[in-house]
Amino acid sequence: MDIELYYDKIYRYIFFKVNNRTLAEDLTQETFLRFLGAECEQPERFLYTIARNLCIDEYRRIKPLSTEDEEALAVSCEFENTLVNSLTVRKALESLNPDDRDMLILRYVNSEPIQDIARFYDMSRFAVYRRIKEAGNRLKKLLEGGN
Amino acid sequence: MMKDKDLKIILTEYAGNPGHLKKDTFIRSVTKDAGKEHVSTFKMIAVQAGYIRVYVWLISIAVACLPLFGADMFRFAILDVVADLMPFVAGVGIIEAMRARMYDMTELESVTLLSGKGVFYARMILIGVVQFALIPVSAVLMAFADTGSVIDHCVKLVLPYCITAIICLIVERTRFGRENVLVCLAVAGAVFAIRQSLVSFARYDPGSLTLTIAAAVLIIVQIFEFYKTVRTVGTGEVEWN
Repeated sequence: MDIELYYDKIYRYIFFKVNNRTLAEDLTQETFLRFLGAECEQPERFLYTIARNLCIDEYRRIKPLSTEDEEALAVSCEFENTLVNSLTVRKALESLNPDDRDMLILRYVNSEPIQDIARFYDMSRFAVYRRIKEAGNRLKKLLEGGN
Repeated sequence: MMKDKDLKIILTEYAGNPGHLKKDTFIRSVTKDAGKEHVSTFKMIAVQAGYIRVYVWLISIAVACLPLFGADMFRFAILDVVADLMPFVAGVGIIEAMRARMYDMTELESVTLLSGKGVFYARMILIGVVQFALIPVSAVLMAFADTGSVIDHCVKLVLPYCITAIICLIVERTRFGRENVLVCLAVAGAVFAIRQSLVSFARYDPGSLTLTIAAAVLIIVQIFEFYKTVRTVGTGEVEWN
């Protein structure tokens, strides 16, 4: 398996869940370390599953961010985001249903085919397409409203 | 209304990319051991035994067994004859261990199942152990034809062997040595000449105890030099840097 190929995808997937670059990198590496010890037929699906489970473990472990942390995060990410304020993107993403958000990220950020996403979620392609489209439209509205 | 392409750009930029350095380090560390078969020292030595050329074994055995056939011919000088040949036995052994360099195959050898270092290590161990084991055999054979003790004979054979091997290993770590593999034979010739002038012509004999201590020290130095050389194999390092 080509780790190079999936590394960035898994990193982005995790980043959207934990909103912390260092933590996302650590969890990405942890994902691959767990993955390399196992054998599976669908490596991509297995990787996303490990990543999601690690994020769930992390949610349970860490305390929620305080208002001060959120402001600090917004300030630290400010120079990296020239188009939209990172906090706005984050708030907009948080307002989405977790599954919709994951599907959206898989499709828009990781460019996964609809067919694969449908297989990950055990849904029909049409249902996945419709949910991504709806989530995308909702996110666009939120972002445009935020600007 | 924002386009899908714009949303994709916003989300991708928001996520950014993982740190390249951390990513590269991780991928290297993970892929380094993947697919690498563990080879035990015994297996490594067994594999290399098949690659060591026959003439090395023949020379070593011939010199060791010389007392068996040459005792009548050389009479009491058999010890000197065998001792004179020991530097060449050592030189041939070192050349064989470093054989890959002679054919510019070091790089290829470094990427095979066994590392270049491992190959050198295995060959040196194998050749060294066999040649060292043949020394007492030779000494015992000489003891039948000569009046000297087996230990005395062993010591007198070990000395030229170790001196040659040590100098060859030191020279192998220099740029000159790396570029001229046959320099080991020159070293062997030099040791032979010095021994001839000291023992045969000047009749220099420091006594059994001194020689035994010298042999023990030289064996330790040789082991030390062996490990020092193994460390530099495949690294491209030479003595002056």
